[in-house]
Amino acid sequence: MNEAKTLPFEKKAIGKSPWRVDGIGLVTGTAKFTDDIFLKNMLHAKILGSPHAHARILEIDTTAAEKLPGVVIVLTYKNVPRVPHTTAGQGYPEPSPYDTFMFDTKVRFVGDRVACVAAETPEIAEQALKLINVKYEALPAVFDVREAMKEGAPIIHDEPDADGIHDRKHNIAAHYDVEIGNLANGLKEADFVFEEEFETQYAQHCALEPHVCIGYLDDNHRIVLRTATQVPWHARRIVAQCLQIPVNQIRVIKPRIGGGFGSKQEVLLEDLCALITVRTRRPVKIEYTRREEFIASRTRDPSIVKMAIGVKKDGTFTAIDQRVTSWTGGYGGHSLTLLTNVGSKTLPFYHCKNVRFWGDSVYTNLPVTGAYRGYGATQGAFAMEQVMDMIANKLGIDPIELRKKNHIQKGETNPVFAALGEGKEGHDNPIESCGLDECIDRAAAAIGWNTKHRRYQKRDPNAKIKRGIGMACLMQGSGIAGIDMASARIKMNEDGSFNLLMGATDLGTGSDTILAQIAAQVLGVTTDKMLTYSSDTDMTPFDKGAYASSTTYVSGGAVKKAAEACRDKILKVAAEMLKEDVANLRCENAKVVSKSGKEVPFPNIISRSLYGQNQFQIEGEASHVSYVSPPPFAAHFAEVEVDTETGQVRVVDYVAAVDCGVAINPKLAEGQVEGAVMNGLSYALCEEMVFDELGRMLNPSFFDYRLFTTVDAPKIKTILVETYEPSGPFGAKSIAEIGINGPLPAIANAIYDACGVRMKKAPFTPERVLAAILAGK
Amino acid sequence: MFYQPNVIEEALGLKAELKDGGTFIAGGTDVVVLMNHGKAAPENFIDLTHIPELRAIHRHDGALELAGNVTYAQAGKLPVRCLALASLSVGGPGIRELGTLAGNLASASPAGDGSTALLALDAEVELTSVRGARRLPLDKFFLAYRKTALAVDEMITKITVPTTYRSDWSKNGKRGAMNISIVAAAVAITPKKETRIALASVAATPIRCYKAEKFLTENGLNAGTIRQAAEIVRTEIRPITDHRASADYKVHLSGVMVRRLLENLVKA
Repeated sequence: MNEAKTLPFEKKAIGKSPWRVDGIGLVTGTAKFTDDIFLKNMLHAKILGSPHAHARILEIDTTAAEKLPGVVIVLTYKNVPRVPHTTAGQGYPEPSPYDTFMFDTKVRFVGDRVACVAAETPEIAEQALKLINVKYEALPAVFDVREAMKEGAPIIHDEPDADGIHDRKHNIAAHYDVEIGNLANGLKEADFVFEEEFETQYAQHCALEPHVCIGYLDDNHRIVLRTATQVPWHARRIVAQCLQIPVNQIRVIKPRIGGGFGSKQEVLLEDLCALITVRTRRPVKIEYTRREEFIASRTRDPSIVKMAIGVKKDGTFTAIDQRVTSWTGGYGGHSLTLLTNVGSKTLPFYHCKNVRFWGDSVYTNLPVTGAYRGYGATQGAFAMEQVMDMIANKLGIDPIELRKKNHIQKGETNPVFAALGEGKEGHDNPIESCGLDECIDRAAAAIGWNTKHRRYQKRDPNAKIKRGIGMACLMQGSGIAGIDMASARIKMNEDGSFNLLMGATDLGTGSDTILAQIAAQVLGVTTDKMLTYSSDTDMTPFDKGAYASSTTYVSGGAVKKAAEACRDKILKVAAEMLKEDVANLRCENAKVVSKSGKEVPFPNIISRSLYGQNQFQIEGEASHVSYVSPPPFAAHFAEVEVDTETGQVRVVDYVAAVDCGVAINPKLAEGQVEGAVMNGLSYALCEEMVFDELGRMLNPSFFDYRLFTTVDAPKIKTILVETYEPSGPFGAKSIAEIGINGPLPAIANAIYDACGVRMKKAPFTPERVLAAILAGK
Repeated sequence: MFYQPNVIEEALGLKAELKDGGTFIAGGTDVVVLMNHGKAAPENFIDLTHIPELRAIHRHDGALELAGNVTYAQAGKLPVRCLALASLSVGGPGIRELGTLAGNLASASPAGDGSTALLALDAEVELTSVRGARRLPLDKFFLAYRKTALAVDEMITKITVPTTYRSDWSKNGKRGAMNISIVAAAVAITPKKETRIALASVAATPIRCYKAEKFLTENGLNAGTIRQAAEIVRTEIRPITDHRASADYKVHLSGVMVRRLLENLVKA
């Protein structure tokens, strides 16, 4: 059953959980985050956010602010280049509309950029914001996508120089429609058709470290941006675009990062920092407050997902129709790809010949949405996996059996993969590893599915507090096929250690450690021999950035190849030294060993190469791109207690089993799963950005926006099901996102099992659950 | 200025002199939050944490006398069920070590956990100033939203709580830890079999439900009367809709919570 039991290599540096390469610095507090440096003469900048959800700026008078002692510069639309661009840090050309300007004459949500002040202290900058006199013409605003698409709704992007908007008159930023087979015929063939609509809410990533950037000029007057980003190269490119300067004038450095979850796949402060530092010739820092983080950074896109699934009595699917309408907020970064990802991560999962995916991503005057762990798949799984539960109940079969009968298997592909790519046609994606059945079986056994599902209610029908159990199956991807590229460079030092220089961006995930393990495995050394340095656009080669579950899989592929190139050079030198054929040599325990038993330690090899004969730097460099995106698969099970009188839902047990390919670092893999599950539980049960009738967020602080804490965590069991993914580095797949998609549907299905109500709108707050219970009576 | 008096008299003298310009601070768990949110900017602080006698807990016949600086952590160990449970439901351990019951009363938050438990217990406060001391039953203490009977020169020096009541506590929020309640409820039964019901987060201040109490006191406690009393509670309160929950839900929840608490008390 376990494909990974016969691996084509022996686990040495991988498959272990060594100390993180940045661990000591992190736990002792010596690790330097963006804000942990203090530069002489540094300015502090603050941003004036719009008080209106939708308004035209008729006039801005900054005279009083500029006169305030300590104010150095004030930026508005009047004194910056007007360049349409997207803040979405995606590969170039970005599949997002160019509908954003550094500053515009119009504001499109409460908190939208109006002006920026840089001053000697943050307090002066804050005070100066109050002295900026802005004359607004308030415009009618729209907050619901259904209203925004209607004829006569306020047009949010009426600026003529925006580019790439699908239908600006109906506020549609992006649209997609694709049909495989014949949906209408498929629905006719069905014995039952399930038509259901699901809706998810606005939420924020709540990374502990907010967006923060420090800009300064180096000795040669180039701009250096030290920034909390997931996308150093895209940030450099987008800043160059906004400022209309060459990329060679900018260096982006990513220090330690305090989490991103997608919110830092976005260029929000870097353009301002760069411009202020260029204009003032002084260092400058901008840091979002927690309030700004909520209202002016990026959020999860709420979505309405309408499903129609045709099914035969035996549980065969004849048609799947998925229609998505999602909120992109005031601007359209990620609009198209968030939309298509709802389908591309749920539709290929099940066998069905007739499939349609269609949808719109729609502007409103609410905060801008963007990348957030799961990236549409979370919303898609909520809908798809609840409908699966409904079908299983209607047909009277076990939800597990329905999934096992229909899910994609190793050796198969699905036409949806090629039809739904990154906002355009994608690549076929034959599945070469799938441990889903083992995930289902082991998780079901761990939670006691067979003795609990559909059984609780028979035991005590009159109980006020009811128990139930639910499950969901999931898939995500590993990077973006044919688009994401990563590269790495490894050079050998004279003591046999190595510098591992890579573009890959560790934003707190531990990827520096995982990638070091991959290199160490190739080179036959322990992980501590790898000196990692990542994400510096001057010093390390390119990487697409840390998003789309790509670092272990794509960047790991680059690191493995670079290590192999380096190893080949080591072997070549060793061959000369040992007078052996390269084919008879291998790297092991920091030595080169021959089949005949001869050996030479690494320091001797590099010493000869640097100081002795045929001198050169032993190093390897490689790039990697994958034309497949092997999905990790997962089965999640939740057991809940529902208080039918108050609507309170308590998760009492949670089991997540994930097919991660080969686990390079089991502890970090478990950490990703547990973190994502907690993230998902919080999203399912309590997180929600609430707005008033003017589009102002009512709970923009941790005082009022409730996240799950450790105390709220139920018992969570993580099961890593190892398979071998042939296209991955040492058989690995990426699993950073998949875990967040489970709690919504698994808990919803458990609530149904407990008390027979369907939660079609998230989050499942006590009030919403109670309303559903009362409506069902 | 940050004053650190060592005796009560000195603190009272400072307050009499500074009046509104001087803010008492003990744990700072309310006032510092208000400052962070830009809702308060005190000119002077009078720190009460260096006055040892304000930490004292004395036991008299049938009552506890809690001095003004008794913390939630201290109160969490007291043999008065609803007060102990309410105190342990406040914030996290760090907050409970710093935050004080008297501070909770003085800030008069509508969601005050300690305040609500004390209300159900017929607690009395001693308010002291340079002019002397006076005693006030707690149900006369809360006047309006964040307004109390404290005069500008007064300090809460004591809270008297009976130990003869049987009581219970329950709190419902969006999550389990460090929570602001959607509704919190305290119930108590006096030695004369009178019922007390107090609720948090359903009005401008923590409140008592007098009508329901009276009904139960007159009709006795049993499954039927408890259910009726819960209905009365629902008619007695008029909470507002906010981002935590709608008014209707808070009304419903209050009824369920009071009923369950009383049912448990009768069973026990």
